[in-house]
Amino acid sequence: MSGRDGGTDSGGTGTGRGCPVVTHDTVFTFFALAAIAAYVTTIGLWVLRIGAGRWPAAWRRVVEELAAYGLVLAALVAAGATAGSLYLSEVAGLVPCELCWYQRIAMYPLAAVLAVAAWRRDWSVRPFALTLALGGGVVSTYHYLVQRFPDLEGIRTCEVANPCTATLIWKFHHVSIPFMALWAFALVATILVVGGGRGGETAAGAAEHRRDGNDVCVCDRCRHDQARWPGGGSR
Amino acid sequence: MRARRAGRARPDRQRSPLFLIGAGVIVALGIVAVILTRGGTDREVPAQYRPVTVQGAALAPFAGAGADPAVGVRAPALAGQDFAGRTVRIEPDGRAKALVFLAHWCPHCRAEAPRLARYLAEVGLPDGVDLYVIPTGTSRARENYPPSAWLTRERLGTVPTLIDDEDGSAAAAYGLTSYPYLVLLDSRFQVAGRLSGAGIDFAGLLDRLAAGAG
Repeated sequence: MSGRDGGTDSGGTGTGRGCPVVTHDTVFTFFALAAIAAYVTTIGLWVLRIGAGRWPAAWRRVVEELAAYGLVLAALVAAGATAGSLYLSEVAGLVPCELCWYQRIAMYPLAAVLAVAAWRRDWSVRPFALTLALGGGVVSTYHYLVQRFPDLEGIRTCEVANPCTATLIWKFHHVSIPFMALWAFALVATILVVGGGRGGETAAGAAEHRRDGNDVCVCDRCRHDQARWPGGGSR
Repeated sequence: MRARRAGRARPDRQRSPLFLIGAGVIVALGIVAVILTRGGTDREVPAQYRPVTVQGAALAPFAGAGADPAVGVRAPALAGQDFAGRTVRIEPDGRAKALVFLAHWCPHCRAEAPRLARYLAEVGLPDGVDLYVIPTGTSRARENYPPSAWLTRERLGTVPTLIDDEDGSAAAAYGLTSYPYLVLLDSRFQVAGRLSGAGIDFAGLLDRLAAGAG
């Protein structure tokens, strides 16, 4: 078999770095759990967004936090996904297929630009980062669908080397590698949308907002803008 | 940019709990992952690779479309083992043979396995034809491992099986280029036909093979 993974038995439950407790399978399971945490968080954020009228205080708090720290969080998510993908290929020996590479093309620069943006607190990165996250997410979705419904590719065979239809990791009956990537992209995009929506309009973003003794925003911008909180209504 | 940087001063705000929560979640997920995978998962699984001996020249790689240069060529003989460790030989013995190469992780093979089992249960092999399943391309890292459990689940556990080795020697000897892969050998041990892909017409092909086998 031509791929490193294709005919070998080295990937799954072998020990990682000789550690008796943490095997490759342990790391794969950790990645799968992280993906589940990512989609729970992403869906939770959107539910909160839809129900913002019902839970205004909670939503406002979330927006405030993400406006202040969203770039760092998004950078951490993208960096984690990048590190994870490198672990899978360089440590666990799983060879990326063609569609995996397209997702890498989106995720790796995303990690880099978000790291720089987080360092500079520069929300103007948002359109560029969103383009990468959404593009990568589309590829991840297609890859996951191809894994589940291989006839989508239009051929009814699996190539020997490294077909995109092959599911290299399958955890909890629904988590595969493109599934992990999909929710990393989705979480990054959601953080950018929510955090950069209002409070992150400027470089300093919501970091400028501050309460006075009556819980009213007293920053310069809000004083001229009827004391709005980032992402929320008038106070 | 200077103005932007000037606006960076941290506000008087409480320390955000986000990073503490995130770190806690990551640690918790790590602990859960260790607990879930503790002790391994395959202590009872038989060996999924066995040594394979190939005798004779390898067939040309299967190209799919067009005339197959391997048709009429004498096939290489194989000797190996099944999952129980019994010796299995695929060699000239005057009977026609069908060799079905399957990869446990290939979704098209996974679709084909129950079709093959249904054919064997409901129609059965024609006289004078033997059928062998050859699990190949096995990888512990991939879905639906181990193939021994998969084939048993698909009611193919009693079908004569020759397990390929880690290098895929049996598959290479028969010119496999994609899965699933079927090679038909006539009674003189010459290739009667090869095809790859899901949706194999086992009944039609094996009947024709039996008809030409005598």
